[in-house]
Amino acid sequence: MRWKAMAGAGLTAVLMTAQAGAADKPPTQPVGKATPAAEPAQPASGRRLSEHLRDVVAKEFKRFVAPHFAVTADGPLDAELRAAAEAMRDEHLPRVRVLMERWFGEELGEEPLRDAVTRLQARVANEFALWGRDSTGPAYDAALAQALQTPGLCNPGVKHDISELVRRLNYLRDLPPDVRRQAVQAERELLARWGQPRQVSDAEALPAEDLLLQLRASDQAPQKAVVPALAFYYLGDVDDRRRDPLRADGPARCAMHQWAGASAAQFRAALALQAPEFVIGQDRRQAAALNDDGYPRAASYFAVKGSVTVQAEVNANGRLVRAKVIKRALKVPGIREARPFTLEGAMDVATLARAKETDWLVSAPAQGTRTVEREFLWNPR
Amino acid sequence: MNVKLLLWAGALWCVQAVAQAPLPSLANSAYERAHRAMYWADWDELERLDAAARVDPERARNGGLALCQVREAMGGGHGNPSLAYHEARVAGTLAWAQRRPELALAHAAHLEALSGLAWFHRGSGYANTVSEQRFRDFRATLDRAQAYAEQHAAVLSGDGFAAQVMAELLRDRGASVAQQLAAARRGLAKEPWDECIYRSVINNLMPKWGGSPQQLEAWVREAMRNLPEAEASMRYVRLYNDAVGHHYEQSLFEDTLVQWPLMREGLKRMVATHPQSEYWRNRRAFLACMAKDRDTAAEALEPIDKPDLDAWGGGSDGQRNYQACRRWALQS
Repeated sequence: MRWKAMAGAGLTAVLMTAQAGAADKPPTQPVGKATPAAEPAQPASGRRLSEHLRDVVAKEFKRFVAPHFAVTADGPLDAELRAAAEAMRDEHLPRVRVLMERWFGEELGEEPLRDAVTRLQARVANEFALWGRDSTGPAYDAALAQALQTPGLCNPGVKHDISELVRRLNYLRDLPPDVRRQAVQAERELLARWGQPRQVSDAEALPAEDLLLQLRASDQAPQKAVVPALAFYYLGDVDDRRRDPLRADGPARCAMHQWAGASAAQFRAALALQAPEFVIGQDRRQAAALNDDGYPRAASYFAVKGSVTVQAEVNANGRLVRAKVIKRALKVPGIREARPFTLEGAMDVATLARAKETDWLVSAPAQGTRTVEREFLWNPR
Repeated sequence: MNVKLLLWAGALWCVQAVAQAPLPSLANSAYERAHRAMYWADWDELERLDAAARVDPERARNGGLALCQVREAMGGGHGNPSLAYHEARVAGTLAWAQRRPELALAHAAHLEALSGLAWFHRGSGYANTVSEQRFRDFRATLDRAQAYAEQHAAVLSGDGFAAQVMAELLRDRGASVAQQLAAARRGLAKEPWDECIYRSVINNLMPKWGGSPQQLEAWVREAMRNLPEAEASMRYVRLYNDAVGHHYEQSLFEDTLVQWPLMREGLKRMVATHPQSEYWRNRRAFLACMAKDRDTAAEALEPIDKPDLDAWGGGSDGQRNYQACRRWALQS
């Protein structure tokens, strides 16, 4: 993992130097557009972060957090939603900054020190995933379910790479005014939950990507119309122009899961941000690809370990007919007291790839198919 | 305190400046927005765009109307489209029309999608390159479109976009030019200001579709009727300029009834009215060279530092056309 080795070496030096002087330097004010009500962060040890360490956090914040809350005038939101988005951004970003400084302080108390930044990234990324899955309750779910019935829900507008905040508010744009107002308020409440322990939905996303591939293989017209964008990229006539659904970007993934008929919770599970996407810029397929040591890239970067259990349908020849993930027990350094949703996407893909390459002859029935469960372990060498 | 006040005022000014930064006008963004909306089946957005474009008289930098851009985007395909892509457009627009049975735009979009599917079956090659099976699919899809149009004639009647699509459909089914023009005029009867209809019918009047220079000239003159002189001369330019791209290319002044003096006057107005348009600045020189008007060409070439090759025919042809025109016009 070259990028991590390089980053690790440099960061370790910074951290060692910076930590040595952590208590000596006076704290500086948090950097942000609006000053949060919260006090400057204090690590668990009770010491405030030094200026150097706060700079480390500032860089992470700028690279991985702020872009997901960018609101621009040329985006798809109407004036009212844009104003709401700007208010949420201004309220939330200082809050995240404070949280990150606190979390980083906690990570500095853990070993190995050189991975403190990676652990911080994992924690922040998982907070994004928790936000993605969270709900304020049935009214919010009903609003999203109603939005999911709207054609064009996934249109990102002219500016294709809209931020996560804009994407979420964009889903609400065509709801009736009162429903929309309540849903916007719910979005605000969900942001306020960042950093707090909470139960979020553990719904599984629908296998929309597989359904699209099955449709492609069938060469038949779909029962339910797909949006032209999906047809263009994923159902083309020429093989080498067809894209891999597991590499889809946000708008395409949105359209796939809307087409598959996802409920609000399933939709949120499918769209919740995954760490590899925004920390190391890799989609699930890339993140699940194996390094030379046989470990998935994303798992190496974030030091993921544990197991993933697959339910497999095996035929008489010992071939895998169908497989799905039914259980995960993964540990990710930095992610505390929460399920590491943010890395499950990549680990699912990596595990299903392993399942495909596994010899299932021992589980093969005499005839027909048999359903078996198998646990795949992921432990770095 | 004063310093604080000054800083506060400065910050406020910055915020307001950002908030008031000009967004692209509808005419300048309509094509891309409509294209995206079509691509993502965002029918509500298309309806909003269509409604806004109908009342927006502002033209884009290149002089195009937002309404024409919306319609063009609704008909435009993608590079390398597939059967699945066209079928998705057909199915999506049908669902839209069923959801909004009173909306002519939705029905017209469905007709346009069927037309796109038909042409996907046929391909754009010469007739002798198309297999019998593909011709059958082409005709069957056009028949399906015709049946749909008849079934929804009442709601389609008088709508500008529907008139454009119907004229195109009649052309593809081999109807006479007179029948095609009658369909277009039905749209114009209700919306006489609709320049997009005039422009879209130009293609139907090309010799490859059975049109003649006389019919082209008559249509252009009809389009200019009742317009103020300046507007009329610019419309003259737009319509004959479309004929260059559709068919005539360098033979416009030999093979049609176009009059260079009128065209020259219109081009001058066009450049003055759309001073930010590189296209029209370049196009004036291109057409002047084509019309062998050396003085106008030299004058038009003078402010061009870097040619807009699209205005010169595009790509390497554009580069050669520009260089040849420049050599000819600037030789003493």
